[in-house]
Amino acid sequence: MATRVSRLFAAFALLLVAACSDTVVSSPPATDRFYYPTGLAIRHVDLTTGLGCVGGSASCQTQLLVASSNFDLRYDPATGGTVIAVDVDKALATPLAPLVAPALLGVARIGSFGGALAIVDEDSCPGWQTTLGKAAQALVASRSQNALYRVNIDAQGSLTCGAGCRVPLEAALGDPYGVAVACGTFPPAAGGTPVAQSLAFVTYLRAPNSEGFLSRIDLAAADNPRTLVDLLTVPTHSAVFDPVSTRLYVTERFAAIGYTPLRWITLAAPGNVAARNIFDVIRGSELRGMALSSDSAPGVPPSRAYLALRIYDVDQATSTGVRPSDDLAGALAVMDLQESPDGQPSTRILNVVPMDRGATEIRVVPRDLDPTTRKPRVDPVLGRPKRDLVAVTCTDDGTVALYDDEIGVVARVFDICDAISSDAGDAGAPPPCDPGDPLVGKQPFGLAVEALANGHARLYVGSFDRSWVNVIEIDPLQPSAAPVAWARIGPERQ
Amino acid sequence: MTTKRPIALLALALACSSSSSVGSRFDGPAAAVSFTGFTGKATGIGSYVAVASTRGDELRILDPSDLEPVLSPGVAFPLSIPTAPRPLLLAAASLGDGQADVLVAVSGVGSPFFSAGSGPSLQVIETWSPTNRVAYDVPLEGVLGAGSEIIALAGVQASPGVAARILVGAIGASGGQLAAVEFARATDGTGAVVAQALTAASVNQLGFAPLDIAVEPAAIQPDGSTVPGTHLYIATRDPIGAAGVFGVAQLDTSTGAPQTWVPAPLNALAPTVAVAAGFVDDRLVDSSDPCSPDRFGGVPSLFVYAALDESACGSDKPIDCGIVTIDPARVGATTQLAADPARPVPPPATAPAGGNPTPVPAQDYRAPMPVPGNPTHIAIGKAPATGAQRVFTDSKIPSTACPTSSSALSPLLKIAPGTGQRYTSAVAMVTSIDGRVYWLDLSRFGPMSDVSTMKGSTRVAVTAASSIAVASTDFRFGLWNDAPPFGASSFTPSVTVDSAVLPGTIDVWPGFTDTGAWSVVYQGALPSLSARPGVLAASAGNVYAAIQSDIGGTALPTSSARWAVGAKLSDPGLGVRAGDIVVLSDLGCETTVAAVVPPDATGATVGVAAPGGAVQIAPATCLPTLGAGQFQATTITLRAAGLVLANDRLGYLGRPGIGTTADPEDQVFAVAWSDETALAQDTTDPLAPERLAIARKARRLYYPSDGPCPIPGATAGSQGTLQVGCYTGFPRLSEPFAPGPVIRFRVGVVPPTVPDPANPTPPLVRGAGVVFTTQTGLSATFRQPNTGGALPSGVFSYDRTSLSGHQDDPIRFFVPYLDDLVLFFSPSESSGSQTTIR
Repeated sequence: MATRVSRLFAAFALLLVAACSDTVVSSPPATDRFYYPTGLAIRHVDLTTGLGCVGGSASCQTQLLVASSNFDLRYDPATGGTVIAVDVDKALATPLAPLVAPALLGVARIGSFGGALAIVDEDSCPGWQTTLGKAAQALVASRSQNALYRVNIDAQGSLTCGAGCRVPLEAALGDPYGVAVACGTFPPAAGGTPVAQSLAFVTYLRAPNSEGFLSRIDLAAADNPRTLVDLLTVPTHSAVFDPVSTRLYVTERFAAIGYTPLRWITLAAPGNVAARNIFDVIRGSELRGMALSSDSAPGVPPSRAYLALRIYDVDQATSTGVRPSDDLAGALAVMDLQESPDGQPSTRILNVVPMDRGATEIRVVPRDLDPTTRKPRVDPVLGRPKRDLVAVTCTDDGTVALYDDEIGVVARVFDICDAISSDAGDAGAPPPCDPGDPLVGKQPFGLAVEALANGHARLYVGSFDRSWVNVIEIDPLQPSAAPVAWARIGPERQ
Repeated sequence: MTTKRPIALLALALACSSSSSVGSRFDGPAAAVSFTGFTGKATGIGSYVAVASTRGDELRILDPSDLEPVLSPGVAFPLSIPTAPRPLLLAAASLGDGQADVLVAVSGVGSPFFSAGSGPSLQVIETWSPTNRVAYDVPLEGVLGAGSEIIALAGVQASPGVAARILVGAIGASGGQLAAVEFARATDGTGAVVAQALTAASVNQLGFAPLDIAVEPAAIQPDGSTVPGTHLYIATRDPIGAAGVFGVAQLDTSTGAPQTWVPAPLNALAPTVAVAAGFVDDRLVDSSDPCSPDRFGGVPSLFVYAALDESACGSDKPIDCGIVTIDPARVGATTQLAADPARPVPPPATAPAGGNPTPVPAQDYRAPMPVPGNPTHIAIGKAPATGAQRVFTDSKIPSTACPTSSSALSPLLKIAPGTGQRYTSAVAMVTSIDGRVYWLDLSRFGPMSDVSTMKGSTRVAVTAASSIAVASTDFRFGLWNDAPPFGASSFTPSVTVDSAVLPGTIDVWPGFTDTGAWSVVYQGALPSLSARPGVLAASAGNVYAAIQSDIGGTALPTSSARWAVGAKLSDPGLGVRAGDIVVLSDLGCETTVAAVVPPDATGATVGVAAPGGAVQIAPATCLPTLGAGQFQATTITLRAAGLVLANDRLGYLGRPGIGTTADPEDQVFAVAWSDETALAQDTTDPLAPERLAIARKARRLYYPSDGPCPIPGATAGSQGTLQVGCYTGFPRLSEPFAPGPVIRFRVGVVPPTVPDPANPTPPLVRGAGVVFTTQTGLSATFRQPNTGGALPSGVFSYDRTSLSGHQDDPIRFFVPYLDDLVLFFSPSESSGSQTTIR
């Protein structure tokens, strides 16, 4: 008994000492693993030219870039985040292993609480590398630093965050999160002459009086000139750019009961902010991620948008005056973006598909791509390309859903490891996969999609809690079928 | 011993409890179905409701008599029937022998319990004993193919010579399929249901994805017996058959193996996502019988009701959205949509003071029943099998003076929308993505309403109107007040600008006029064409204007890829015509439209590509000088040459003239439906495309259920006794059910109140006119849970009259919601009586 008391006393004393300490040990972030990953992005890089290429072709490297958030501040609270680039094919050879060369291509240190990750390169911004002569960059906003990080990516995937990498954002706003790249020829202001521009738009999860703002940053200019775009009420969450219509769509978070706006601005015709209140159709909905369909012909705006929705209890919110911390359900809304004669997207809700709780990130998976043009092929029966497969991470319930927009139903859900199978884990997923655990790992969050040359697609799903990234190869034409291959990149968080 | 005692005491306490108020504890209910079988709650066979908890990977069973769950053996919790992960679909079918039904569940992930793999399968629940577990699995991968997914399920009761079937709609590598799994009673005396062997003949290669399956119900015969239905109806987004028809597929199952059933397309003019079938006794349509809305033919007919795919319906499509009525008996017709029951009423022999109503023809098909939000599931409810709520006799009900007629073939049920109780032969409950369950009165072809369409402050009406003020020296626009008020001894038609009088000068029509804001403005900007960014371009000596923006890039100006279209100027729905006014505000320039130019993808006409069309504008000195192929950004407004009518929802609606005489027919302007097919085929009238666009906006919204004039029970000598105009505010209306115009009025002008002697006839003022607002007179009846209620996942009707203590119950509906509750309500009971089961 005496020994037990002594141990308790010793532990208490240690805690007391720790509590009285006024110094914080600040360690640099780990560079051989993801750590609470958030944003994911995929690049295909021709190692001989440094430009884009078709995945799976000779000398074409698939690079996965992952933003780690340092969510528990285990590392330096200010700059304990990272952006890590890996060679996917090499990393797949050593699943769950610490990331080292040659699989590890580069690491850059950024602020903690990083959010979405966007790439600016020749593919996303024509002329960026060839005309402007600039290096490809990974763009990540840090909530702890209230800054946008512009991490240079060299031809081999090495990352650097040197001078000019950290771009301060609006001091009066908080929690920058979403990043979208918008390149094209737009007038700088209403009535102005269109000029070529390379822009990044950053969303803010928090703003005084729950207002909605974007930062518009001129990426091509030397000093990162920044302007504030006022989107009226409701804080912004994610932004998606359509280069054909030049519309920038912005999802917005909860600010008031009864108002869930999806807003858009048209960069070619600046001045007006248009909005569609999703709450009018889907009671209790709050927006998260958004994706645009890929099935339109070249030069035609996307026909549909896919919106990840969280559904909260309106009655509880009304009685308490705040949004409940938990959700009733999740959903995927399919929105019609067909152009009306007046030039505005229809924005009619075509379908609402139940999802698990915590629907967050969303990506389209193109199907039946022409191997030459890399555009969706026209289905001979339908007379148009097949509609997209849509992947959604449902963070709260730990699942990933594949919605088949051609049929209008969920084709597959990656939910939990088989509760019946043996200790070897689930037959359909790689270990570790203990019975009852989420198949993709707890809290799936970040999402990226890669179209492969063989017609298949890879889903990259980051498990925020387990800190690995699932690489799941599927046949988009057979979404209900078992994955073709599945591995996890990065060691499990301990 | 020490630890066992409290547990024993707890168990004893629970066992002694008089109420099983443990709650149902649903976890994401995705489906529900009623079945007959055994449970641990009662010793004999009984009727229950199975609910699939998709997040809990289990089924719960409800006792519909008390809405309490069947408890687990431990009593402290509701019974859980573990299933394969994510049970999503349920179906049950009677084997027709009075014993337990077959009950099956389908999970999103194949069953790991019995199948070798995780392919599609049916999990058969043990209903024939209180064990209530997944008894066995019927693997379907062998007949449906690897990777197939089950997306629809339906049960078909056994009938003479045909076993009970579970119909399985699936999609796989070979496309859409329908499998029929047959079940029989075990011969070993256990009462078990046994799945029959599946073969290739059990599967029909549909060629389209079956999203929902409805089974033709049994028909009541004159002798009271019933004849089982033999048809299936399948909703699909895909084209059906070789002709590529969109609608519902009908399969005749009376002969042959499932493999040989040929899907016959029922053309609904659009794809469908949900379907139900039922025998409905339509109300009588008789403009000479004021009680006709409450009288029925007495012989129900089979109709199929389907929810249209929202992506293929609307005012810019061949049919509006909602629930369509399909008449399978219309074989050989272009469409199998039921005929429009509303016929035009012939004008009275003597035109009423103020003029006849605008004649509007019947539509080609019965208008879809509108459902706010997007409809997701449909269930039909009829009168209960027995009891006081099954009505045959002529009964007067509180809301009408008209007795209801019915027949033995067509029992009625009571409905209780906010407007009062009534009888009908069938209702449909439609779930919507907005979380509500909307009520449709199938015998009266439309939604029930909680407010009166024809009477009081809620009726369809102009709620406010005003004349836009002008200088006292200018002419002011007003409307002709042609119809004398009831009882007026003398009346002279005149143009009014009085806001108190103006609403009465505008005719609205029940079932056609929607809630909205309207404007009739002289030289008003065409809807959505005010101050839009655009370009001027020149070609062949002409100047063109297009509402589009230069998005640069490497594409040439003669490529469509160079431009982001702001508005499709050549779209007839926008109403741009030659002679309209073009205002280039930034250039201080005004001219007119010389011609409307169709889309020009290469710039051959316009000089630059104009993918949305353009207008050729008349020469003017204020225009910039542009060389061929040159273009210049500008800001464009297009104004009508004269008056233009616009609505905030419908946009452009035409161009009224100005009535100058007291003749009530002089320059009457009406927005009214006309034959869309004829307009689409009209190649002689250059305005036919514009008229077609307007006609589509003037379709019927719903069918009112008020009776024709005179109003039954009206006091002698009162307005209600009139043959025309018996309803206050509708001077030209004799039958609310008849088609009519969306809006009708006559514009006039009032001379300057202080004429300028130097300019006694000034030109009409741009921007002057009349603005008004309307309301539709419909508030769709619905039910929703008292709290929560997100994403209803199904609906079915339930008749409790066979249950002890519920012999006189009305018909009821169960609606599972994914936020862990099931809604239970009756259309015969008023709002507030619904029960939320959690």
